[in-house]
Amino acid sequence: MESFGLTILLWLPLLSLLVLLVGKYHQPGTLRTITIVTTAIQLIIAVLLFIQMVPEYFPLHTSDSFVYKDFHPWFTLPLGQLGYLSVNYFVAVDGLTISLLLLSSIVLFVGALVSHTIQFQEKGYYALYLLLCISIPGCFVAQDLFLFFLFFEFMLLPMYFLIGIWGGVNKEYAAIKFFIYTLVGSLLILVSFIILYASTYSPTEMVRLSGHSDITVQSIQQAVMDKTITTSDMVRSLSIQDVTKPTNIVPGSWLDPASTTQWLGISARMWVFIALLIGFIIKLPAIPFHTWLPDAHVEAPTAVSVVLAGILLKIGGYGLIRIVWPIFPVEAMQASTVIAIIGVVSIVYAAYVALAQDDLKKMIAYSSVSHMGFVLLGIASGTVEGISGAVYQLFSHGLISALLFILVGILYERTHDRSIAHYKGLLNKMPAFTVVVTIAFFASLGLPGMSGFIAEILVLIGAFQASQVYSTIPIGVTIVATIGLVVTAGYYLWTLQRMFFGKFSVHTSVDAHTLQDLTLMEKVVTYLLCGLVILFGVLPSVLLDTIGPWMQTWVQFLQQSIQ
Amino acid sequence: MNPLQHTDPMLLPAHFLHSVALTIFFLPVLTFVILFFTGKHISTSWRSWLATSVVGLMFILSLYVHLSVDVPIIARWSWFSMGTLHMTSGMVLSSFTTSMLVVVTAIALMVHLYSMEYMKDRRNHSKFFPYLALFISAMIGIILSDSLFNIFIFWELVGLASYLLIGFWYQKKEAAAAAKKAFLYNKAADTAFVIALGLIFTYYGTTELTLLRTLISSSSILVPTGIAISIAVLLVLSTFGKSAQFPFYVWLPDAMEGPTPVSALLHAATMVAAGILVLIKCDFLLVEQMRWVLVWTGAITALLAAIQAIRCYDSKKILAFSTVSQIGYMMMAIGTGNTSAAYFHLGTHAFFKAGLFLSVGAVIHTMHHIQQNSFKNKIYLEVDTLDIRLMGGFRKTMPIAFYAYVACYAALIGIPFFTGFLSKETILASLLQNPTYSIPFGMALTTVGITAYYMTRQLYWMFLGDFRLAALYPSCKEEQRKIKENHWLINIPLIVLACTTLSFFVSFHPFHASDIHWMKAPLPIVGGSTSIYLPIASISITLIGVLLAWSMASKEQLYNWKQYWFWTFVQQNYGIEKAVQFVFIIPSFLIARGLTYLDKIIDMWVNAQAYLAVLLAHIVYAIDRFLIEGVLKGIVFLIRIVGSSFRSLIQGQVQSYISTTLIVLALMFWWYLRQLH
Repeated sequence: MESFGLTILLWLPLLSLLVLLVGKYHQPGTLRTITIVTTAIQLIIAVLLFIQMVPEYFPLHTSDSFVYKDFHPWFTLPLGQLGYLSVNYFVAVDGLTISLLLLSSIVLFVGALVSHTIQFQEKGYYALYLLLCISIPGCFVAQDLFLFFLFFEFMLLPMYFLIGIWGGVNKEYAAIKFFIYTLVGSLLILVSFIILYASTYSPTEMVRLSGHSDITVQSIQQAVMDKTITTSDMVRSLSIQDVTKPTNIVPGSWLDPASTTQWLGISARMWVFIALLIGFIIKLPAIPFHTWLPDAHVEAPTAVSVVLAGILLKIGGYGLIRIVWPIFPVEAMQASTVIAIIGVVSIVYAAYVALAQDDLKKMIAYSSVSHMGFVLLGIASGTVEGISGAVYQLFSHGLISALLFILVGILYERTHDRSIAHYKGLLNKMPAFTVVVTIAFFASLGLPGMSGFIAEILVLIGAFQASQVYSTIPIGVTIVATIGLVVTAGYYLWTLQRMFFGKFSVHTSVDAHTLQDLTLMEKVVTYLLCGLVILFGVLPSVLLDTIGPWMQTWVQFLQQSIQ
Repeated sequence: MNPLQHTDPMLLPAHFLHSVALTIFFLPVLTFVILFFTGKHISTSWRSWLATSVVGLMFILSLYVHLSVDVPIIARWSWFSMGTLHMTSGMVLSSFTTSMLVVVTAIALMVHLYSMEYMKDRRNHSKFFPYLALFISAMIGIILSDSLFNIFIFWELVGLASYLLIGFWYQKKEAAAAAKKAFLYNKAADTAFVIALGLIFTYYGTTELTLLRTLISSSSILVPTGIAISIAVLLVLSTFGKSAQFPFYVWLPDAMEGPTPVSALLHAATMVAAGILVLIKCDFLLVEQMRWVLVWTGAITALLAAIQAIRCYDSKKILAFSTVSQIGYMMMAIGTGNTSAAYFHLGTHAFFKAGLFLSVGAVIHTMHHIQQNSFKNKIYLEVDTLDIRLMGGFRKTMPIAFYAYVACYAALIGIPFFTGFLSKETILASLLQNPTYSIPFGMALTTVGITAYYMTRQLYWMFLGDFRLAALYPSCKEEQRKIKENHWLINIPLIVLACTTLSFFVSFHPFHASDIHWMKAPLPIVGGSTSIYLPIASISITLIGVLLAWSMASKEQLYNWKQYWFWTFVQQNYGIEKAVQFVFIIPSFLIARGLTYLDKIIDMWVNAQAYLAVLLAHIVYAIDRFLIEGVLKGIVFLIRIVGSSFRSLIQGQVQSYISTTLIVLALMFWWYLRQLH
């Protein structure tokens, strides 16, 4: 019964998509209403699932650790020497997923609300948007990597068109850049998945498919150890439960920890780890794979920017936490210093670059890169505080960046000018707008009482702890990260001072009469997000108490694996 | 893998007094929310009365809590948890915290009463009281919190409130710049707090101060000495930002861009007091090896800021420098380990500094009115209403402000029978006890004299003599005659604050602070002056300062005096800002440019890859077109040539068919013959 909700949440947009494509709608705004209603229902379901979620301590990626399970066998494909590929439709929720599911529902709903700026080819736009409403939650709930990859790819394609068709002046360049970058990423992920497929087998699937009562998981494992089952007879599955189990690795395969296969002095496991890492880091993004992001954001329409920064980036972080670290815990721990350094460099580097930007939207895009660095640092720390901070940062940054991009969109929509230097003293003309911008800026620079603070302080604490627990991240590296905090405060306050304070004046290219304060609709959306940001800043327990146990089991899994 | 230190603090239920204290904390939060969102729809007087009565209620409740508290009582809640790890927030009610609560709410009440009249017709009024409420509630949070993590939260919120209030008149370019400056200097210092917090969490496993104190005193957790020293240094460094110590103090004089009541609150009770308060709370974390840092920084700050006040003409900036200087004394006291002296001075300073700001504000208010009235008469006075060179003669026209000023002035420079004397004496005595601190002691004593000098100078120029604005602008003569005592809402706080500077408020013994009765001895006062020579020395130095100022002031050339390089250097904050500019800000922007360029290079590389791919595609296309297609075409061409040459053979002429047939037959015959041989 409970799994029903998840399936409805996931496939409801498909129904709306049919309604949308079949009918003829001449009334303006009908398409938008359909989308808003769809996402609103999704949001309600997600909130209900979140409220009903009971925090429990089960070992990571075991069948008990998932709730709201929906499992259907899909197909089994014989692949000759590589055995049989068994793919199941398996969607479920756990502590990590529920937070991101909640976030994606909020952001998609908000994105639908601010889609009114789309003026042409609305049908195409909303159809693609509804497709995103399936594929993004799908990415988070899919517990089979085959399914995950399908959703992952189905997310990129609509995004490409959304930027390429409804984008700004330089949209083609931005869209193709986005697409190629993420395609390279997903190619690396695909190759890694194929290797993963070839190196693991699934005793549970073999038991399920054999149908014999006398065949048990133990007997199959014994048979594999004794090599009485050849590789061509093995059933393999890309279910996350199966691939994260170290016992499911085929002896002698590439990913066997005992294997001595090396290439350029680096073990095969490490190579696959690096490939997966880069694949997801591109999505996150971290330095030096980040340059697609500012272009994509600057050209994308507001709603697409909101979805892009609000959720798409989070899939990078999600992939690292869900897939990369649990499958390669030893490699991840070995590389954690380097990864932490990448994270810290991202934090500081992007903050500095944001300081030099003249385009408001570009500045915020770079601040996104900077904030995602905290996610990387938190994951690399491998402590409960660090990983909780990282997940909290995913959640909080989703809300804050959505708010920031909406605000930039509001200004751009009025004047078609995003240059910071072209505005002065906006507070005199647009007081409500300025208040919300100030809240958003302070939230983004990590002011206590807002969600970003909890995330960043937890990540920093976790990173300090890592130096003590695992001797991985040197204290100095974490201290460098705090420079990012000051620079972030610097560019936000400087922007506030330049654009909003002082006497009102605008550049001659800007029509001052278009500067109207927030409309009712804009107020509703922005106040809602401000409220959420403050709620999760004052009461982190709302989220952390629910997802905390999962974080702890994640760290336990990691620590058991490296012992 | 080392096991991680996790000290899970016990949760403690809340006492009734804790709920009262929580009410005190949440009342201004409520004010903030109500006035921030609905302020524009409520009339000015309603807004003012609402905010002021709430603060009045807070003051009464604080008094109640203070009088009810006996032994320290702690409540501790779970704020959030990550699995089995609990992040707790504790609240401690001891006579120390509750007396601070009384001080803060008392001064806040005075400031509110004063602001009702002072801010009445000012721009942006609807935001004033909510911001004040935010400021106060954040400060109360710092006072009551028992967890360093929570203290940090309120610490930053105090920073936010000061940002909003310093930049209150946002249309002024200087105000916006000053607000940003204050926040960034504080933020820079706060990173030290973040690092300290991370280290404390890592090595002690909790930030609950009560728990930390027992952990450290019982030595149940051994932390490397280097780490312990780092934590102490970082904590101290972070308070240098908020409490405006060298070299972070440069934000404070600029912060005078905010409204005067805000300055009074910020200097007396909320912002700069926060740093001292946190240091007193974390005293047990300050290891002996680094206490000298505090003493020396305090001494340097006290002296440097006092020197800056000597040649300052901005009436509020003089007071700002004096605050910096006095906070320096408190730092020295903490450095010597005499936290009670620091706290004592914090308390007395709060009252007389608030009194000074408010009485100076009363004069500024009048000056402002003169300027406004001149505007109405179409006379545009482009003058700085804060400039003491334009004031004078207010002794007669505004006696209440004058006498309030004099009382607070006496307390600040340390005249016996005033509170400031007692507290300053305690600090000097504790400095004297440690012979290694003889140089800081000398600096502190010098500062006493300088303080007497610049304050007397301000007193002289502001209240005595003639009204110089009228002398400069004869049009103001008419206005001068209309100067009268301010509204009672301004005067009552002045009278109250002036009374609190009298020494019997804190001690019946005029030369020894042995019996602090109203504070209910929040911290045991140790030290005090042990010998009779110290009070004699400090009183004589004060007197020298006063007399010197008196004789110099009348001779001081107010305009066009020769500027020595030294004074230019002093007025530029000893080049601190220039140093910051060259060491941090300009390099930051250079780095920003450089990294943006690097980003472009990465982009160029990516684009080059794309172009290369496209180029490759073109090459392949060219190959496809010219080579493969060319070969194909060549074959076709050949075939066509062959075809066309053979085409003539099939033209339908019987003769040619026959001849061709014969030739072929002949050839075949010839071939057959060859085969036979």
